[in-house]
Amino acid sequence: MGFLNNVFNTLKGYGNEANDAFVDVQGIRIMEQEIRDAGENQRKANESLTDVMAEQKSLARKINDLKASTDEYGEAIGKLLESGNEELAMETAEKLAELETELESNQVVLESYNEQVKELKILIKDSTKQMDALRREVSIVKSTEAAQKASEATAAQFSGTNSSLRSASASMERIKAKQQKRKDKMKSARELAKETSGGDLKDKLAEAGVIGTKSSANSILDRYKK
Amino acid sequence: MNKNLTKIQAALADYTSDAGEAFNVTATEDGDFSMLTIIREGIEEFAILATASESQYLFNVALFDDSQVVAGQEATLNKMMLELNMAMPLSSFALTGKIYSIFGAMSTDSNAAQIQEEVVVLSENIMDALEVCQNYLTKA
Repeated sequence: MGFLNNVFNTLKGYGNEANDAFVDVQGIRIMEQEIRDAGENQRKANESLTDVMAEQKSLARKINDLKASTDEYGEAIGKLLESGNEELAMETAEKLAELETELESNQVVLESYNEQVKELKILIKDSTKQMDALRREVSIVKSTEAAQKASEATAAQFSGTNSSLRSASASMERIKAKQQKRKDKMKSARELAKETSGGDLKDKLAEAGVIGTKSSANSILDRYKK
Repeated sequence: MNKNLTKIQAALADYTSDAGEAFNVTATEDGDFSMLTIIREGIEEFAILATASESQYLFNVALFDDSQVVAGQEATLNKMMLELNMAMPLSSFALTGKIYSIFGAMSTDSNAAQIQEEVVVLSENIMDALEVCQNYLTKA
């Protein structure tokens, strides 16, 4: 079974009767147990992998040796037949047959080791993924809980209620209103800025003598010269 | 504090988005569990909760719980979320227990600029996600 299936079953497993996927302390405990179990399975799989790989290596060596021997005996038979020593050739052929049978059966075993290594590696990878997925789930649950607790304390500030389950619709409306207000404020600030800086209004007023002339280096110097 | 979370804190401290929004980051620790609460100016009601494992950052925003879904509309809402998942930039819809949320996940190898982008985009998705779900939610 793939890791997602395992995760899904765990998540289903922590539902209580009243609410079929209610995350609670018990649920987290179950998930944490699942994580430990997955870790234990992985540890066992790792051990098996080490064992199988050791067997695999030694068997591969044995097979290589057997191959070398069968090659050697094969060559010898050829030479013996060439030199007419049929009796010894026959004896060697019997030995070769024995070796070939052994080689074949060892190769079958080696293939099964190769398969086991592949399967164990998939199992280890899957349990890692499963542990990661459950850890993520646990941290989401814990962080949501922590945030809910925190927002219970500050809920009044935003919504005027003490409910930890604030209404999303209401919150959204409040935010929208706030954003609109901010936009309006920025708009009127812009308009006000335009009006006051209003296309050199100051300059015109100065020209008309309503407000003082702009200070300049010269006027400052004049001030000191007096 | 989880060392990976410290990286997020550093990335968001003194950071202001192109649109001028700043983020307020608070750390919470409880035993071996730690998280960050990231609040974007103007949408304080929907905090981004950041947690980190060895390999992944998770940024999650709880939107509403299943009690707020109009009776009989759950399946339609769920289907819509699945259909929209790919369209939503960098974030996805999720259901944890009875809490609906949007979240983004990223590698802990991510740099500060990538973390900032993730958080900004996720925060921008909050109102859009709520808006699209609105018709399936009970009015306050």
